[in-house]
Amino acid sequence: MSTIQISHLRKAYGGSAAVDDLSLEIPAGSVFGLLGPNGAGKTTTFKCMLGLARSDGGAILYDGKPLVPATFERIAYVPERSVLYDWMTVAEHVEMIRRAFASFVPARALELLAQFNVDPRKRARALSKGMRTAVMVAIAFARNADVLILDEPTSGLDPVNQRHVLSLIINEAARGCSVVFSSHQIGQVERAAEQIAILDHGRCVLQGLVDDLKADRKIVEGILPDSSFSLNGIVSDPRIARVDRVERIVRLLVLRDADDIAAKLSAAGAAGVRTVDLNLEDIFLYAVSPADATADVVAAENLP
Amino acid sequence: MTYVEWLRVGRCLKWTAIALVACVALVLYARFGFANLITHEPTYLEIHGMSFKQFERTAQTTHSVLADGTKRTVFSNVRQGVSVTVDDRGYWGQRVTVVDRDPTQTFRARNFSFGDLNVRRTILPNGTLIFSIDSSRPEHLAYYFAAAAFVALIVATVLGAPFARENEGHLEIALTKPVRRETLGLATMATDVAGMAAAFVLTIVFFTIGHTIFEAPRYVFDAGDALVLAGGFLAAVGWYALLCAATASMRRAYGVILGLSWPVAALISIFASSNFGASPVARVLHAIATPIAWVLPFSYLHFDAAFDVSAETHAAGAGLSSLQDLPILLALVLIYGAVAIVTWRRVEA
Repeated sequence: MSTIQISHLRKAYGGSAAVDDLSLEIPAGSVFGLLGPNGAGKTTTFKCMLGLARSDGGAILYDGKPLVPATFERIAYVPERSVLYDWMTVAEHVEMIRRAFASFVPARALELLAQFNVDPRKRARALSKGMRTAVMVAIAFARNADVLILDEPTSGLDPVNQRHVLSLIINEAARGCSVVFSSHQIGQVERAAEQIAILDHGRCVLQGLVDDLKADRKIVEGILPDSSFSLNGIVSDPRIARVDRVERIVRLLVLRDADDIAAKLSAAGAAGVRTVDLNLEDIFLYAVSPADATADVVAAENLP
Repeated sequence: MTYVEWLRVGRCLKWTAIALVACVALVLYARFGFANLITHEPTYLEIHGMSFKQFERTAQTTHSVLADGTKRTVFSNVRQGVSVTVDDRGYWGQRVTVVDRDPTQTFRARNFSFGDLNVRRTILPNGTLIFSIDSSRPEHLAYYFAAAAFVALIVATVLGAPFARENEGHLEIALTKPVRRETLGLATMATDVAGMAAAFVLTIVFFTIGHTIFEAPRYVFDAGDALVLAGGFLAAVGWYALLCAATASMRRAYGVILGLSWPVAALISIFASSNFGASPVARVLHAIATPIAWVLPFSYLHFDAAFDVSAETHAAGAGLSSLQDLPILLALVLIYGAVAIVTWRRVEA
């Protein structure tokens, strides 16, 4: 069981901030999803967590202690790209990890490799992208680690194996392992993660329990009498996080009390007012996209 | 901790062994493929303007067997005052002694020594020349050490970028092991040095085998040999450490450094050790190369002394110039090793 605390983490490359004042707390035995568009700072965050990149500020603590070499005995990491040695066989990779980590269970790794249909006698250069990912995943999950850091662990895998990896993640969390993972497959994150943080341009723009975020956030939408209709008095409500207008259609991202806001909008003269639930993908897009860019996200499927 | 490096070293040693086996196979072919060309008579001698075959026809030949089993053949031409004694010990070597009372016309060769071959020219007070070609003398191990140092230098170049190889997309594995980076770096370099030592030993073993194919090897080992052993190996390790330091922060293209390292180092060594005349360009090149050569382990290796034509000294100078080079080489090993570790320590994934 291990709790990870990241406080005010900063990392810049050249003059550009890759991670800017990021603070997260990942409870022990939980699955934490890190979301963000390309270049948001997810991989850099992982690298800073592992000491692979030196942070410019802030602190990262594992159970209240900074990262030291011995901590790696408890951390397993799957990078976003293949880091396997092309000239080595899969079995040699397993042997390499066995020699480096006392808690590694080679039999478990071989069992997982068999489940992913990877032949341990093959050299890494002969493996497809998905198989390389599978090797790294198998090795990481056989580590019996307290912390699993997975950077797009399903990249290149077929849907069956993606589902298998999600099951493994959930099983590891059930065992008490803290799992932090990133993925562009938001549906997977929604399925596996209890908590998420959404990064954009190195900053955390949203974080919380997935269920709470989904329960709190609603879209209230309606059709205004005309395109110049004023929404003064409604949009200033602090419960409204965002307003998108396209011609007569108005869409309000509401943080709480959606029914109350819907009633207000209706009373103001809007027709066809309705409240729409959001899934994690909608929440993600609202969090990282500029106003109007998401105008058709909900409307396309939900407007009458 | 350094399993990957051991695998790399193992692959390198495998290819080293294959190359050495190929060399031994060539030696075997040379030994038995040209066996009929090997003669027990010194047909390479020229006596008073005659080939040995011509001389043999004018000489009286006697055969005998000495107490130790040596087959002695004496070719004697009293009229010319020349006698040639061939003591043939078969697999244990041969000694040819020429006694010439009128040496004005022959044997202008200088004293020469290489390996177990010793050529000596002695003029007695009465003017008689005694010329001997002895291939049965014990051989200094310095020859083997110099050759082994050369092979270790090649292996050092092949293994010379361990950190750059990790930087090239494997840091996520290398640097997430439960060990300090400095320890990992040191262990990695130690592994490679062990590989170079193995290549060193391997070369000596294969050279011994190659030698044994032709004749029985007999060796001597003295302080000069020890100097070549220590200096040759240290120079190879220093060269390896220099390459490590030069490539520790690289992520790609380190092969260019490794590939160009030999010609560049050879040019520096040549310009530093040779004077190409009084032209300004030559002097400038010499002036630039000399200080660089001081910090270039490659330039501390010399193989020219193996061919000893100075009559009295032997081959112990092969591979190293002097005893005071040893501490310099050791210092270079430590400095370049430390630079490599410190540089790699700062690399980010």
